[in-house]
Amino acid sequence: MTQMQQDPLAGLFGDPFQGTARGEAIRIATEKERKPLKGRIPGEAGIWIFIIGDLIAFSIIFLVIVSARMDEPEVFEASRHSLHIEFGALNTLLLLVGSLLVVRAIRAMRTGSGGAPLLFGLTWLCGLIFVVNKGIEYSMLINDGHSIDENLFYGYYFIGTALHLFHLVIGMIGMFVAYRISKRAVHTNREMQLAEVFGAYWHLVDLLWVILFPLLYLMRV
Amino acid sequence: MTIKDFEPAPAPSGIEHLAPAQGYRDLNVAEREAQSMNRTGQWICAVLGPTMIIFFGIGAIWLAGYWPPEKLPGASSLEMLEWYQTHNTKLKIGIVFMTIAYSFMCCFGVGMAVQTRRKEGAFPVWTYLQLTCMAAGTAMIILMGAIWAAAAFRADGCSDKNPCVITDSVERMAYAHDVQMMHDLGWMILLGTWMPFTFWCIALGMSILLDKTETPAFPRWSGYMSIFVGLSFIPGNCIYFFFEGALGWNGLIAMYIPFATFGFWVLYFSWQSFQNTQRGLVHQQDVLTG
Repeated sequence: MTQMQQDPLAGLFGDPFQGTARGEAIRIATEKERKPLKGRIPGEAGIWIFIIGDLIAFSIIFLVIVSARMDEPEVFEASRHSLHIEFGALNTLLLLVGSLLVVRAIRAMRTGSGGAPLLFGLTWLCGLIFVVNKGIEYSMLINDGHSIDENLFYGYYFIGTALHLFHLVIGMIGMFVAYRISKRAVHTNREMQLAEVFGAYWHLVDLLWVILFPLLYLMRV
Repeated sequence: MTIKDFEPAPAPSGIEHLAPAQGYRDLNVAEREAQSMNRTGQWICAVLGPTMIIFFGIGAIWLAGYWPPEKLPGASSLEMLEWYQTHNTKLKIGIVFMTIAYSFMCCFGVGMAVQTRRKEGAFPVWTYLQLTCMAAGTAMIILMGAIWAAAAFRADGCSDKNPCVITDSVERMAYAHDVQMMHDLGWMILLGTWMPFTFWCIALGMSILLDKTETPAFPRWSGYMSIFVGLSFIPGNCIYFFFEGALGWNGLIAMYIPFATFGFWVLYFSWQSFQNTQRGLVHQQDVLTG
C-alpha cells in the first residue's frame, strides 16, 4: 500500500502486486466485484443517454463537415494545410493519456489501492495543458489572419473545436469533483457512481477529439 | 487500508421522508377537495406543453412560413421585402399564434417547476432558477414576435394596396433594408440568445440529479437528458457568423438540432408532469428538512 502511495504510476502498465498477498486480495476483491458487474451499466443509465445524444449531435456535425468538404475540396485542402498540426497531435496524445489515467484512477478507487487522487489530478492537468495548447493554437491562427467567417472550413474548425473545448472544460470540472471524492477515506455507492459518470464523460471528450482531429487536420481530399 | 465494499450510506438524519403520495382515486372526498385546485392547475400547465407546440406549428409553419425558413440568410433585402408582402395577412396572423405559443411556455414551465419544487426544502434554488430563466427566455422570444410583426407592418406600408404607394426606388430600398434588419433581428433573438433556455434546462436537470431520495420528481435519466438538451442549444450562436450552410439560421446544426431537442424536451416533461398529476403527486412536499 505504501509503495502504491509513493509511486502511484507504478501500476500503470503492469500489476505491481502480482504474486504478493496484497495482489491476491485485490484479485479476490475484483473477482467478487465482477459478478455484479455483469449486466451493470458503468456510472448510471442517464449519463449514457447524455453520451449517446451528444454523439448523435456531433455525428451530424461530422457529416456536415464531410459533405461541405465534398462541395469545396480545394478550399478545405488549402485551409487544412494552414492549420498547425503539431498542436493537434499533442492534444490527441494528451487526451489519450488522460483517458488511460482515468481508467487507472477508477480502478484504483474500486480496489482501494490508493493513488486515485493523483491520477485524477494528472488527468485534470492533461485537460489544462490541452486548454492552454488550444489557446496558443487559436491565437497563432488569428495572428496568421484566419477567422471564423473566412470560409466554411474555418467556420467548422472553430465551431467544432470550440464546442469540443467546452465539453473538455466540463470534463475538467468533473475530474476535480472526482478528485475530491477520491481523497475521502470512504466513498459511498453514489460517490463511486459519480466518479464513474465523470470517467465515462472524459472518454466521450476523448472520443469526440479522436474523430474531430483526423477530420480537420488529416483527411485528404 | 481495507478493500471497500460500496454499501449504500444510511439515510442522513434530519430529513424525514413522507409516505409516497397516494393516487387520486384512493383519496377520500375531503382529501380530493383539498387537492382539486392544485391538481387542476397542474393538469392545465402540463397539457399546455404540447398545446404550445401545436400553436407554434400553426403559426410558424403553416401560416407565417418562418419555419422552415424559406429565404436564406444571404437573401437580398428586396427579396425579403417581397416575401413579407406576398403573404402579409397570413404572416401577421401566424405571428399572433406564435406569440400565444410562447406565452404557453410560461404555463408549461411553471407546471414543471412546481413538480420539482415538491422535492426541495424551504429555499428552492433550482426552482427559482428555472422560473427566472424561463421568464427571461420567454420575455425575449415574445419580443421576437413583435419585431417580426413590425417587419410585416412596414412591408405592408410600401405595398401596392397601401394608399401612399411608394414609387421611388430609393425609398423602397430603405423600406427593404428596415424589413431585412428586423427579420435578421428576429432570428438573432430566437436562436442566438440561447443562454436563459440552456440555464433553464440545466437547472431542471440539476434538480433531478441532486435529488437523493428514491423517488425523484422525474426519472433520473431525464436529468442528464435535460442537461444535454440545454447544451444542444449552444450552436445557435453560429448564426451570427454564417450566411450559408449548416451553421446559418436555416442550418441543420444551428437551427434544426436545437428545435428538435427542445421540442422533445417539452413533450417529454409535459407528459411526465401530466403523469405525476394523475398519480396525485400535486399537493405535498416530499421532503421536510429539519
